[in-house]
Amino acid sequence: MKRAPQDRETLARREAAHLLVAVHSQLFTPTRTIWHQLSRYEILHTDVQNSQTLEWEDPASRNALIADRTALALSGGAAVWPRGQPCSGIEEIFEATGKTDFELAHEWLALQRYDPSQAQIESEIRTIFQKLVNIFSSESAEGKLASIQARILKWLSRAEKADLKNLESNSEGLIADTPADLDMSFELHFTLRQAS
Amino acid sequence: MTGTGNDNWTPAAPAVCLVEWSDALSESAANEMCERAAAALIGGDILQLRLNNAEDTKEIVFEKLSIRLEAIISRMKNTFKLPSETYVEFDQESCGTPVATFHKRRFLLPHSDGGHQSYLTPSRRHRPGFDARDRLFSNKWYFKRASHKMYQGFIITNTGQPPGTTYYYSLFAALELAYRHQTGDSDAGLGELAGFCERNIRNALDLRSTHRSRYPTIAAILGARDPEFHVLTSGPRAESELWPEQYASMPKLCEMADACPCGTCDGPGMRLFCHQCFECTGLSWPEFRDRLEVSAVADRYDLLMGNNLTLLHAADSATERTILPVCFVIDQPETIDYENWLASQWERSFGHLSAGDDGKFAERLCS
Repeated sequence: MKRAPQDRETLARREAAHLLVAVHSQLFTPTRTIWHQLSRYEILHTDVQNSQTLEWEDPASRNALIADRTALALSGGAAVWPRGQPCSGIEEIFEATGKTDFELAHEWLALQRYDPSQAQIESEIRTIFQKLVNIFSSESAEGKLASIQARILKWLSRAEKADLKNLESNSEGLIADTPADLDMSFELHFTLRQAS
Repeated sequence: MTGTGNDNWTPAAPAVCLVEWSDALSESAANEMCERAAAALIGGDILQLRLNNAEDTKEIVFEKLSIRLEAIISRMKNTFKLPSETYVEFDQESCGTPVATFHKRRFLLPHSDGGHQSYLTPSRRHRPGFDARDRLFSNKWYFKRASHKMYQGFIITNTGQPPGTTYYYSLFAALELAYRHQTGDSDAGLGELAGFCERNIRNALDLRSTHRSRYPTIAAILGARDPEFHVLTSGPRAESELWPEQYASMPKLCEMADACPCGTCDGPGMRLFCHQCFECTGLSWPEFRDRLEVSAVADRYDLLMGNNLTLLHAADSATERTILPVCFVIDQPETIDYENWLASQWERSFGHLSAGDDGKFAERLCS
């Protein structure tokens, strides 16, 4: 979610990326997608729920979930990142992702242990964001993103026709027939060691 | 909610009780320090424990503090009826202080540590119908152990520059402010306030599927009804955003995070907190601070500790500040001894004191 004015195409592409990551995760599944037209901007969000019982107090299980949740949060920014352009600066990632999703990723990473270091959190963000950018640059991923984005735009067009300010839908319809065949495995490189 | 009763009333605040317990003390003097520390904690004050041995390494400081904390918890059990199952829980030393991007410091908003299952509830001695299972708010994700933290504290291993400040707020006083504001009744006794707290906790639990917070917020405990006020800000840092799912579930939060009642708060988290204070007490966050805030600045290797249920704590910290959290905890907050200890905390605050105890004993010992 980016809480700022943006065009409808970009809004839908960001959400398509969230949905695509959720389709590929073994740890959670998308449940419902929600849209609101606010006075200055629109917000769009997909809820996910854990798809298996999690051993939260086991560091490896906890960190696997945190890695996937971080990727989910950062995916909207990665999907609008210019193709072929490398990313290194945390400021650029913040700008592309938006404050709300960026800080969600930050909070997930901070849950690994009692107050991990800022530098290591930001390093994990850079690594996962770059991996997402690489994934989304493939033709296969682009095709999936475009397909989900088109469905979202079609769904949102109903709001225009009926003059609605809010919409909610089961996410299944937006991701139907989307194969989970991309390499979307994410891991944490620094903080798992800290937590052990 | 109706705004009444809080125009001039300033409740009593806890004291910061500095206890300097060096190796050089005689046995009787060390015994007195232990008594002071135990009395401060039981009396609802904040303990600042200082070892005064500048040459000690961090490992030696941890070892000495561990021994002193065992002595203090033992004294609290033997003299002040802390439940016998209570134990000292050390966490890992932090690696730093995560801050919002582009910030050098963070302001951690008032909270209880381990708030997913450590927050103020009534004692079943005062509210026999209260279900002890309602002391668990969420158990999906948290850091790090599933224990009920009765007293929270930390040893400061790097103060940061400028040194961090820790702030404390009496939740009993806040509860009284809220009750006065919401009912206009300025003479409520312990029974009314314990019942008020019980109803508020129940309401927050009932709204969990909407607000999705892991911890009850201050507004939840102080009686806000609408789910927007039950949303815990991320971190909970003043500078931070809320979760996307919370905005999607309660879109009114977008406006609340963008503007607050006083118009001066920085950051979405602080603005939401300002709304919560205003909704429940009629005071904006800066006004709330003026009435209730107590602060402590600790030196390197000082321990700060206070009641984690009856006091909320906040902190202004530089990103390089590091601490080692240490708490007095219990695994099952449902025993008779626990209920009696909790009841005594309520009674001390609301003037129902046992014979010979005027509630100021810690203050006298520290003066």
